[in-house]
Amino acid sequence: MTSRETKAEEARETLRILYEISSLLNTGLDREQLSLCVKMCERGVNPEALAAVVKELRREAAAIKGTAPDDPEAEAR
Amino acid sequence: MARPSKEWDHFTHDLIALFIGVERDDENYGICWKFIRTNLRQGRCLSTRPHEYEQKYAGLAEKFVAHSQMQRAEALTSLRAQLLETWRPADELLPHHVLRLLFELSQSPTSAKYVPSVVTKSVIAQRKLTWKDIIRDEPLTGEHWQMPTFASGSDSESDYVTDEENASHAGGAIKSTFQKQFAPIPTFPQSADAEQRASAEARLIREILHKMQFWHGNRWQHTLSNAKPFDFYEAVALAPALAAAMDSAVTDAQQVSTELYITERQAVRQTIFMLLGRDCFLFKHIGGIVQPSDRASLRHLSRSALHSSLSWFARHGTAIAAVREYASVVLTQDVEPKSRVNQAFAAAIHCELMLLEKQLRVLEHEYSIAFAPAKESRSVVSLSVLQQRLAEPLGCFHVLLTLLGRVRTDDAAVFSTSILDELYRAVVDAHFTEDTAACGFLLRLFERALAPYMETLHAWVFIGELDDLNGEFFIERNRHVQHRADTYWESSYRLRCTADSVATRCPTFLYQYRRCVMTAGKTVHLARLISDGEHLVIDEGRSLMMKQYRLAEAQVSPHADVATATRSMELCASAPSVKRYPRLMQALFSTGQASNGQDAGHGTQQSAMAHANPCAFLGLSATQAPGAPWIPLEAIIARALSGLLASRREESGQRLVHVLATRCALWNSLSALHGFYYMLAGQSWHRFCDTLFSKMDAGGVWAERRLVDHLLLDAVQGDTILDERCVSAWIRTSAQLAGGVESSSVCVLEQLDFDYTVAWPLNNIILPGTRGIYRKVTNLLLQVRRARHFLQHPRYLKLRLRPNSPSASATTMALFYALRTRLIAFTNGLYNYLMTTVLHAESQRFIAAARALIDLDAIIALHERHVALVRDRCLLHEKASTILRSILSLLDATSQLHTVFDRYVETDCTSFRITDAPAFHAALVEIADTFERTRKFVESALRGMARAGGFQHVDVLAALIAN
Repeated sequence: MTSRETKAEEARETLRILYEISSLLNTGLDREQLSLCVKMCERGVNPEALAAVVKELRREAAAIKGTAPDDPEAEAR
Repeated sequence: MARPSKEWDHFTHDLIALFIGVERDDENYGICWKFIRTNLRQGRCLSTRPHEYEQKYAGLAEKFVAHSQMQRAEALTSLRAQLLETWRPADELLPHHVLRLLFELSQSPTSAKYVPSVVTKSVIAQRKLTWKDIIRDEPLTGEHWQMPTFASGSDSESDYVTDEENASHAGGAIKSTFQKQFAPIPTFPQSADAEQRASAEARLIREILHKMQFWHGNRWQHTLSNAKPFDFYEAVALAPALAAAMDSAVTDAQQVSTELYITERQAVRQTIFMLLGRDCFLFKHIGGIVQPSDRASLRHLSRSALHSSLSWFARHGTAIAAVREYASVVLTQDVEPKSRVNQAFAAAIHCELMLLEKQLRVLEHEYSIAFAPAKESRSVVSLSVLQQRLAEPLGCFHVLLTLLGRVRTDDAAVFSTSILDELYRAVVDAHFTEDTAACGFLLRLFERALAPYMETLHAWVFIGELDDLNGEFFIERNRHVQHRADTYWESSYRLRCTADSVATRCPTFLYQYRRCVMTAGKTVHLARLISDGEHLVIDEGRSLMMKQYRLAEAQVSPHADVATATRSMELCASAPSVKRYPRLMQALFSTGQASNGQDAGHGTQQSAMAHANPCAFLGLSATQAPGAPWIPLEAIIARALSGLLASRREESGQRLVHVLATRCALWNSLSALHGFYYMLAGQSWHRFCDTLFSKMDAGGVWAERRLVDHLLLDAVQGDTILDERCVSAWIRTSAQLAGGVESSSVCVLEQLDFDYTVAWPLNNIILPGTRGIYRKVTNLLLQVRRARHFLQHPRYLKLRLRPNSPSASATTMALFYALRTRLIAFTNGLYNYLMTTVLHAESQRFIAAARALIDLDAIIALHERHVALVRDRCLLHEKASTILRSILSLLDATSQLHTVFDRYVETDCTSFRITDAPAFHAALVEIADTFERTRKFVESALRGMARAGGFQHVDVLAALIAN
């Protein structure tokens, strides 16, 4: 296995773990969304700002679709 | 940081597409685009604090547990730990950013449905329980240990050391951090075994961390190293060394933090810092009292439990701080009153503090190793374990602080005595209760504090020198007594202060031996003075006596060489301080091998040491031989002291008496003393009395000091017992001679005084009170001799019973002879009683008894008893003054008879003539009546005394008078 393949495997493993954590926390992120968020964090996006954007986008999407969004108050806080 | 716009556009588009699902041509697309770009651009890039979200994730895991969702809690903890261990991006904070993002996006995780995936199960299965999970916050005991899944990959403190199992991973991350600050870490060859390399890297990193941490800094190392050369018996030498150590050993203060939520490891570390006297945030020093911080809290302990545990340490920390302050002040400053015992005590405290510090540093090191992968490490980071391990040493210092509070500081003697007494009581109590740790601790302090006192005691008892500059010892020199005074032995040294307060100036364990100690020291001191030639000093004209005694000195046997013995003592004293008082200290603190063959004369001491139980004395009850009886500490010390001091006193007393006998002619001097005062030197006294009485009969001038003294010197000259340079005689009051008393009376001799000077130091045996009694005895004897002289005058021999003179009737002559005979019988009986029954017999008995004694004090006491007995038997006691006065009046009858005879009888070589026979007869009748009346009174009084008091000698005197 080349080093590139090794890194790719490690990245996939990391993403699997992150997805499990995300599921445990009930973030509502799918694998693509999670991967995008991770990439944006890698590029220096503030995770708190990104979280705020994601929440707002979900609300907008719900408004566009005419459905109620999830409870914004995170229980964990 | 300027980002490529293309990349941002792509991210924005993906966000809109994934979360909204609208296309570029939708009007909402533009609104979303603008919103996203604005928020992401304006959102400040605040740094993520890993510790904060570690706690939040831990709190969430606890929440899962609270909701009985153990599987979720375990999964969350394991996944997070696995993520942090496996994901090593270039930006170390990236995992924490992502975790923060997920946490911010979480929505009611406890109420959501969750089914563990294969990934989660595999992570949980792969992740083993490591030491880090256990000992970071939790001890191995207690309920909290039942939840061992606490993981903290991002704990900053846990990064100090790493598990061997994870060293290959953690080492790389930590190495990258520290490579920027420290010397480059040597790389290992690629061919080396991976496990060995990981272990070496972990060890190297740990060493770097140890160097970096102030609690393992090198600055404290020198404190202990400097403690080794300290001579704790020489507190003066210790003080500058301690001061230097104190100046250079400035502790590195830990930054006071406002951190409230601490781990147990931090609490342990802070506690050790506090006990070591360093600054810490968990404890505060307020007015010398250590108080725990109320703001700290531990996860698994309630606030009250934590506060209780910290208060226990704070209480003992206060004791240690106070004790440390006391020792520091005493050793670095001039503390009044000055006391060597106090300085040695402070030095001993300092030594114990060093031992405690060493123990704390060992614990510190041990606890730090507990985080390392050392297999032999069994330490548990727990306050309760620390409390258990330090309970004994800290308790000892608490006892010490209580002890210090009871020390009195009135003066140096009270100060030293108080320290020793308090230590002694504490040691005895600890030994009695078999508190091994406290007993050993206090015994070390007691032994070291006692050292200077025992040094003084040793110098006094064995060398005869009182080396007590500060006035701590319970014996002091009496400056009012001159060097060669006759009270030198009695008063030159005395117990400090009066009998009422001597208890506060003499240690308890020495109180019953105080007089024994003083006598032993005085004996050695006097023997030293005599051996130095400061003996036999009377005046300038004693060269002859010196010659005689030098001759006697030349005949002294070699084994009696006191000077040699004293020099050997001095050589012994010049040994190092530990050897300066070996016998005393061995007797007190023997470890069973103290018996030496040099002290052959110390049989009692050796037997006492053999009977003492040194192991029990040292509090090592566990090491006692099986079946050995438990002996109280007081008994051990008392037995050792009594054996030592008694044998020492006996030995020194024998030596002194031997020196006095051989160099000062003790027995000859006492014989001469009695020969003079008791008139046992008959030849000299006969000459003196005959000459003096002749001058008195002739009516010439005799009551003159020079004349009497000259007569005495002439009489004594050539005497083999008496020394003419020691005798002297004088008239007490010549004025009375001129007035009240007739010169022909016997009582006129009461005004004569005689003295026999005894050389120093023998004059110390003759106390001033006894000298007066001696003079009274001599005076009484002189009056009796005078009476006998009157009765034995040759003129009486010319009288005949049948008078050839017509003027003298036979009745008158018979009366005269009868009266003379009665007077002769009385005076001879009295003289024989005094000389034979009392003085000669008692003198012989005294000399014989004194020769058997081995103690100067005993000789002095015997001499006092002898003089008192002579006084009583010679009726010189105040209570018998009436009888004595009557006896003297009976003696004076002889002078009256002599006067009447001179007045009424004229004699020539062959005949006599009574000038006035009736008057002569009447005078004789008056004298006879007075004599008989007085004699009966004396006889009845003496018999009454004999019956009442059982005095046989008085009965003998009464019988003699009756005849």
